[in-house]
Amino acid sequence: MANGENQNPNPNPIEATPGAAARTITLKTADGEIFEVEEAVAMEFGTVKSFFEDDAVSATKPMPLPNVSGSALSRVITYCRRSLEIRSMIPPATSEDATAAEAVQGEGDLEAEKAAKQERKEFEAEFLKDESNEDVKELILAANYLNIKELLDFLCRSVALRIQNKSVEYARKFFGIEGDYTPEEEAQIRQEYAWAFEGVDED
Amino acid sequence: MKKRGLAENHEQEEEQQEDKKMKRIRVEEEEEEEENEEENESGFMNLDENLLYEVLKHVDARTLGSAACVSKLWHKTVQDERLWELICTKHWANIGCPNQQLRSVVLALGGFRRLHSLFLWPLLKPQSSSSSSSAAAASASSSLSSSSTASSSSSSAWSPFAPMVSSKPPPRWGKDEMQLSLSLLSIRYYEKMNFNSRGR
Repeated sequence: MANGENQNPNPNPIEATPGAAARTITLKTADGEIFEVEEAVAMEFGTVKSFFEDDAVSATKPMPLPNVSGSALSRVITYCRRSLEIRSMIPPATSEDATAAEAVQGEGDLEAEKAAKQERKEFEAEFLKDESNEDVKELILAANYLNIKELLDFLCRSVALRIQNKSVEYARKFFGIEGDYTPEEEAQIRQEYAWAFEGVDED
Repeated sequence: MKKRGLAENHEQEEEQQEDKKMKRIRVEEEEEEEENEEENESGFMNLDENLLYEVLKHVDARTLGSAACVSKLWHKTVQDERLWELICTKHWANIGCPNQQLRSVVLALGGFRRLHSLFLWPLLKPQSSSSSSSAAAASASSSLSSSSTASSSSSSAWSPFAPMVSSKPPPRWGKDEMQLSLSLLSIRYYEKMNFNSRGR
């Protein structure tokens, strides 16, 4: 069987291909870029998952993603791939090795979990290191649209860290919003939340 | 027409089912305004209220407070009791009762936001000297009404805290501290109630 990953955009839906060659799903972004994604990765996207659960036949046509740009999708795919890799580091709960000592197996799992956690931390730190605020926002919108809970959670946490203890102006600039309060209203609100403004970092 | 991914609708449905009780606290008008505002906002690059909520779930109390001043949408999001519930319970290691129970009590007595800003924050922020901690205690007790007996009993309740706080703020509170702050919240609530019904 042709195990083409990139060459064969038309995986055979009738015959189940053995584990080695993963089925790929084709995604088309708002700016017309086409992405071939392994099925396992694409199923991380809640939106894609429900799309294909509803209509398995359309695995042949590229799925349109009108709210996601090519650059964002490529980052998202990178994240999900890596995330899957890390998750597979942890041996599944129902293991086939019926060894006598369950305790030993448990310890092994714990070790694997710790290692996985460490990997994840390092990977996540690297992932957003060079992203501009705009890029992060774009990623959030993409993760939200594609319904990827893990990525969205991670991104929200990172954004929260970025605006933590910064000034109101910084937050406005970060999100590109204009304050819509009159000076009097703003003064009133600052009064209401005066406790929050003691000792804020300068940007 | 609003362009909404399937995802957003599902998310919204789930959230609505979970938090019906919470949302009743908010004025119903606000919910309608929500929908309108989302339509008016220049869609793509601006985080809508739901995403903003997701981000604000992870910030600390001070950031949440200053977030309220960013814009009207942010202010409305910051008023959400669920965010303040997260902030309050972060400090409580072992509540000793189911969350739902705590939630209904606190919401009935004025909400997590008030609980935090009036009774948790003044005690949680690190105090450099005992004088500033008693200043914080004084301001917190003055936020209670002017009924003489109540304020004298509450100010005496505060003074044992002053030396404790100036040494080192406990990173996580236990049941006792939680119950104290809840008691103070309910004192405040009932004082306001009495004050209103006390005809002179």
